Amino acid sequence: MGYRAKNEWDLDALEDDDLFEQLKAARAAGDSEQLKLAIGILAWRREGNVFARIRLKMGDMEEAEDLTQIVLLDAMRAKFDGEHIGEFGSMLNVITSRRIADFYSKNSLDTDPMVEEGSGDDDLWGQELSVGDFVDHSNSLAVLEQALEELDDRHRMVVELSVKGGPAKEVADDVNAVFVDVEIAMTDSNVHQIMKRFRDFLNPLLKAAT
Amino acid sequence: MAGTEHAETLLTAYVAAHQAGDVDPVPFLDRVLAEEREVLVTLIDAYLVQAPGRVWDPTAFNGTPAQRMVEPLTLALAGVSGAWPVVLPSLRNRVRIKRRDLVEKLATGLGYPKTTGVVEEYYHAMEHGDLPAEGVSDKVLRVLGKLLGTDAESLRRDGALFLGGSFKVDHQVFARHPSFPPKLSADADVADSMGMLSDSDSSELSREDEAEIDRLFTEGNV
Repeated sequence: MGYRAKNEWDLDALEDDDLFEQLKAARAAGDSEQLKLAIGILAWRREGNVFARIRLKMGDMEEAEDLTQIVLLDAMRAKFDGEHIGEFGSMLNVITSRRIADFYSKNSLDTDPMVEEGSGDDDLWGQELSVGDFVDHSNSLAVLEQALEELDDRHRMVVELSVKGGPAKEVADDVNAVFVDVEIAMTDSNVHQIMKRFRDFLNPLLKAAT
Repeated sequence: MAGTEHAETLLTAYVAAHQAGDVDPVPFLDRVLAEEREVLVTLIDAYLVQAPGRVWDPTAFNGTPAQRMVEPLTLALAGVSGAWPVVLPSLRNRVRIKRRDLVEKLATGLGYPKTTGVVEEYYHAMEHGDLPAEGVSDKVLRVLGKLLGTDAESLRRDGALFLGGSFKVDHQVFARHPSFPPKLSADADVADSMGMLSDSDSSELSREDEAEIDRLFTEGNV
């Protein structure tokens, strides 16, 4: 099928991988205007989250912007060179983590041991974990994943939805809609409490891992 | 700097700010209790890896870092210098060196301090994706690497062209106009008197020096 330029709204309607295919086609067709537009839309779509992830680990704003640009270029290059596995967004996340790891300098904090909040429902947090279980993880997201696996299904869902940005009330409603057989319904204050306890559970694991 | 708020509270606050278009997490990291900083970093990171990208907004796009990336990314994808249009300015920023100073040091490092004007033309072409990367010699990349805090091998890798078929965008490959046209006297003063030289540096430039710089930037390692 022949190449055809698209307007900005049609380009924006494309998923990342399709947008990239259009970008590639524009490049091959010598359509520099379409190439720029496709790059602009892709950069606009993805730059903010990549930049924010880099800023979490790098203090210098200008360096973070430069690294963001390099990550986007790395991802495009991997696509052009056929090195990518999976979707563009997933690849971008992997490349971002890899580039951050290159730049990351440890910034250890001397802190007091965490004080446990609440009591009486320790079973919610599963079996006690040995800190040693986590020392091989240098990636904090891997530690988070492992910590999530220790939760029961309902509490894992609470944490996962909260991390996706769901407001506490919505999270509680969504959980209740799935776990209809549970006698005591989840409330937004339960959600807050679960997140508080998850934070205390996660904290020493992260410290041990880093 | 450490704050007084808990990580999970600040995650909620960050998500709201992010969804309103404010992506920088640093102000939120400044507000978290010191002992919970890593938790907040991890929770925000977990949110970001699955957060949707922005919906196209041409008005908001103007003047943003995303817009500033378009030109160098296009030059990298469309040009003949691989990733140099992105990588070289980034390295310059990191070592805090102005382009003019870099060019002077590069000319000196190559052993031809009077060729700054010529080196400037070539370096400009490298940052703009106009200079075929395979023509740039290892000597140039070694000196440049030292000045930019990297090494020749990395710069060589960055200069590799993108694959994915031939590129048909009408890209003008850099071709420098020599200060000394063919058949003109080798004497620089003659060229100068004829108005052939472009800058003051060239008044002391010899044809041999210029030819050597041309060779270093265009003939690879022959």
